[in-house]
Amino acid sequence: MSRIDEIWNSCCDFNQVQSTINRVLDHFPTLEIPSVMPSAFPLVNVSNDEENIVLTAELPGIDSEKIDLRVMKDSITIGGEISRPELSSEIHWVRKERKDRKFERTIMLPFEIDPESVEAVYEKGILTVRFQRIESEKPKRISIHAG
Amino acid sequence: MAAQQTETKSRTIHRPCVDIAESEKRIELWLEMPGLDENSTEISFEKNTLTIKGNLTESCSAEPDSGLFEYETVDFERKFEIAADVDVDEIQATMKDGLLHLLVPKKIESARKIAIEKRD
Repeated sequence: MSRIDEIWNSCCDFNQVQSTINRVLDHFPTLEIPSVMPSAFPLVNVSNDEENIVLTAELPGIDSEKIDLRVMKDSITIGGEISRPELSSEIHWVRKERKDRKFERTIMLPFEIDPESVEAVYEKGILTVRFQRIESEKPKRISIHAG
Repeated sequence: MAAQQTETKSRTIHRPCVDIAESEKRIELWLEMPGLDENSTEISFEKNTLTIKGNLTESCSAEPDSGLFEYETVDFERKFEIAADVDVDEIQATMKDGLLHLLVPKKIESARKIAIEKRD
């Protein structure tokens, strides 16, 4: 079998390519893995129905008292800080992939909400915020009269 | 309204971000696995490989069509090859707010003296 054939055959198994890449990345000699920071953090999912808007964000390992939430009638601002634990002198960092940083992000909501109705829960590293839409921004049923 | 079918499609598997610290006596790992807890996470150790798997049991409720959808709910898996000799029975794992903390103690063996038998 020629060298080209050998390489081709081993490359066609993409699981193997992926696991080889993973092994190479794991042996990366630098302490911190350089990566492009997304400009928006945290990433959020927002969904709504006729009555409510629900926003979720992935924020694992944060002290919930350090999450700062500010709500306006049409937006929410999520702020906070992710930090690494302080290490004692006998132990040292070998790898740092988590991003330790302060963040703040404002998300515009699709409909106007009642700021008094906001409920926020932080569980298993997911922040879930529920808002009630104000009456005038809820969809209204229009009845059709037979003509 | 017609009953909705819950689609149990297989989720994408991501490698969780990890911070690793090491001393003479132990290795510590912190892995980010949002949405998971001790019931949905499995840790195993075999032949110097530490494997961490996290599978969300509830189906994904966010729908891509309604509103903003920036992240996908994923399952996690990652393996680590540990060069040091590990005291497997003493590995400690705790999970809080989607962050898994592992404490892996190293086995410190003192040199054994080998007696030389005299042969006549």
